[in-house]
Amino acid sequence: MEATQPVKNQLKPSSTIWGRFWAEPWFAIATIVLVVAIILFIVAPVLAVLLKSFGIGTGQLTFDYYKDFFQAPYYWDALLNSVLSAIISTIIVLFLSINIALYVTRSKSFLSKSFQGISLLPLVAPPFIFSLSLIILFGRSGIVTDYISHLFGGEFSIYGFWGVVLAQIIGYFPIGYMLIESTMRNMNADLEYASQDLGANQWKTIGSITLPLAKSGIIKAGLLVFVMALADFSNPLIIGGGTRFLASEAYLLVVGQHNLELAAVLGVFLIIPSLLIFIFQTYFLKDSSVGTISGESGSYSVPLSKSVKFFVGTISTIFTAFILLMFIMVVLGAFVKIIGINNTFTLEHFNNETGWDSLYTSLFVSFVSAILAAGIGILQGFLFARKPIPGKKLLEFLTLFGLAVPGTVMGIGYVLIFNGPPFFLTGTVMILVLNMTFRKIGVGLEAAISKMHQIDISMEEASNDLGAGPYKTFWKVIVPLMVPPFAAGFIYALMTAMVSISSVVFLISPNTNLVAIYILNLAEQAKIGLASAMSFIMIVIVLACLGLLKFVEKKTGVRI
Amino acid sequence: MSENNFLELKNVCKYFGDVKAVDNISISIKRGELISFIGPSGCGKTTLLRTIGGFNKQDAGEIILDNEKIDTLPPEKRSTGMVFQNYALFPHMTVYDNVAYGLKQLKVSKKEQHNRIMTALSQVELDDYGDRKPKELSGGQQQRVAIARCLVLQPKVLLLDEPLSNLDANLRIALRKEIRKIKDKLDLTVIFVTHDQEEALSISDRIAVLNGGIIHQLDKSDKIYNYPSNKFVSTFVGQANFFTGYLQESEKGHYFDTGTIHFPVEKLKREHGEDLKIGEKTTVLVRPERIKINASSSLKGTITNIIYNGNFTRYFVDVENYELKVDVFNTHDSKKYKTDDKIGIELPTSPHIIRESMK
Repeated sequence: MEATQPVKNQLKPSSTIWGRFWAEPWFAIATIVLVVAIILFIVAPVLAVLLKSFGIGTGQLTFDYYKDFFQAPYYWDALLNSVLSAIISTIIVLFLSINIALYVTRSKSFLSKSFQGISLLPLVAPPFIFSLSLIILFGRSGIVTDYISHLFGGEFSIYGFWGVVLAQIIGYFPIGYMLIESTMRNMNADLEYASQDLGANQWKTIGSITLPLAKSGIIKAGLLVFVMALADFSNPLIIGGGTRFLASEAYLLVVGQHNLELAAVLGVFLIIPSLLIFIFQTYFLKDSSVGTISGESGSYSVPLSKSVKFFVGTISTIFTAFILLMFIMVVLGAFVKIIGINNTFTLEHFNNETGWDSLYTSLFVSFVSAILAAGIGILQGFLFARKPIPGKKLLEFLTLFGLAVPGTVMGIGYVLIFNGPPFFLTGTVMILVLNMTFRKIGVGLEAAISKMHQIDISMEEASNDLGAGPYKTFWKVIVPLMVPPFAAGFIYALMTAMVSISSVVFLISPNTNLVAIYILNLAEQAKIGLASAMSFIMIVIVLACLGLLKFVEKKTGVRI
Repeated sequence: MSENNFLELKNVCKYFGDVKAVDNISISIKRGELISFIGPSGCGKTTLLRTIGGFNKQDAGEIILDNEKIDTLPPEKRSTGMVFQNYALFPHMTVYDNVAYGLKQLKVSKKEQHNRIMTALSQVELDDYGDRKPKELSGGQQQRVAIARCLVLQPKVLLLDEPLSNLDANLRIALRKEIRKIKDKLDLTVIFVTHDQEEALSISDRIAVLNGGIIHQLDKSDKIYNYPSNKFVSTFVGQANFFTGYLQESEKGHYFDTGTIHFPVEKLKREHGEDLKIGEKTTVLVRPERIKINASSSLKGTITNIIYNGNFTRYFVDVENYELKVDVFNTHDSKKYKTDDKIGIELPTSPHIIRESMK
């Protein structure tokens, strides 16, 4: 009996959470470092923006800047335009997503695979690239514009509010589409069969069964698209044609007038909706897995009836063709002298040293940030899933909130904190890495959390039982199992870091320009050829990452 | 005429790629009959059911229901009612709305709708549950809502796809009685798909045993059990001991000789009634409960394993290298044996001749 007693100091049960927290000191230290980093690089910048909007940091607490905001019709317009364009693009994105998702998930043809592929294509491009294509087609001397003015006379161009809306629809469509597609794919097909069995045709079935069941996915998609469109920074800059939007105005305030306080006020208006929606999503939109497959179902998705297929097929065809057209324009723009005017083949746009330099910087920064974001996220996921950590829920919330904070706000926040003592970091590569890492850390965390849920805790208990201590168990059991989510998180973070712009745009210096920002500048200056060429290279690189991601998925069998 | 061929499948085929999920099946079902499709998973039973419901389009063949050819109609135009394995209740609607769903597709007055819904709910004894959401009901209750949702439309055929497989054992037995009761009360025609042989045996008027996309036997329950047409049916339904050998004759009468074992038999009849000839080779089936332990029998064996099953005990007995299964009912005076006990085995004198395979 005595011999089987556990070694005393190993299984000493501690009554307090702090006691248990310190029971494994290395994990405790890792957690503390993590928490400090989260506070410094995610929480503090957002708080700084909030405080700055009240003048704190510059002097007295004041509401003057809010007064300025409300008195100038100028900023009201920006707020209104941002909200309105976000609402319109969200509604249209949802409509398109539902149609295409219906076709893709309920048909197995080549066409359905093409729709799927093309729908995800905008993910690989910086979100403003569609502004570029739209300008090539519909700009003041665009291909279509010229053609129309030849036929009918009159002036017409895409610049302005509707141009921004159109660019947002294409740019943010994949986000909405992915969520809605996965909801519709995971739906229990028997429910739709049952509806038909009870005498409802497919239109009625879609209206009263499919869409109501997909409701939570649709709402989620809508909120996400809305938040992203609201915080859209680059499209207004390129195609807005002087129409004011919140994020771009905030940027201009910082860069042009160095009015950080008013920029902070705009930032507050950007962050309030994001915060509300993030809270709503986290606490009120709990995955209600209503109507999704449970256990063996054995039935294939319901095939579309002729009339439904015709309707959703037509919409899918038109929209995906339009997306393709956007990409074709960029590729053509990259390889001809001046698209629409002088269509001779040339490679001269690729001969651009500044461009290549910025590409290297981007690759370096993105690569390092992606490794850090995935690695830290995974470590955090493990610690949070398995270890007793005081205030765990709050910390998890804050980390994931990092994903939801509009880039503009984060950028302004970083400027506020790291542009003076004690941290002089602006203009360095390090600040870019830090910014990107902590904006993407939620990606790694999410990947890790979902993986940790799949790993039965008994596996670690078995390892402990066989004599391995907590650290050995971590290295020998957890780390190997975490390789697939790490790879997934890394590649996803790399892709998104390459195309991200709204936050780092505040932090670059002439020596540390990033390719996405460089392209944005080119596009603003209507240097279509150079912008297209650099965009083309970027798309190729990101596509390669995506190919790698698919390869990893296949090899490891982990769906990412 | 149409009473006997109320639902008729003629040469129905369904392929998934190279797999013949349903391979040229023909079957006639009477009005008011409860017929079970049983077989192992992948045997084609659910595919066949879904083809009748219109969820699969058959690749060949015809389906005729009540003198109407229905095989080209979409599910919403067929007067079949399907109860899905996972019930497929609409989770965002109340029980009442679930049952109302089908009626709303018809031009039925609100008042008649309500009456029919309440009738259907009372038929499954869920009168007071109209306001509940499906997830607030137990598995058995959900199952009955699924049935009510079909009944309210007065379908000509009720199709049940393993409706009891998600329930626990006792509830399963209670509900299958209930289904039988509802069926009898409303004189429904029902097709019941299951992989549970006991369920099929207890509930059905007739049973179709499927494997590899074909019907191996279509018969009444007792026929399926006692006179299975081939080896597959005999092992899928119930436990079996097989003896392959020859019918022989001695001065004491006929006996069956496998080469190592021989035991007396009466005349053995082939499938179509003709007598088995002396010296002819065949395989016979003996159910474990038909074997008796009898110390005076000349056939001796050694008990190798014992499984206690509550109401009966199964002995595995080695007889001349045959491993026989012997079931003995546990009565208060039944004798207990131990492993390695030597016992006498008495085989029945009228074993059933079966075919090795379908062909």
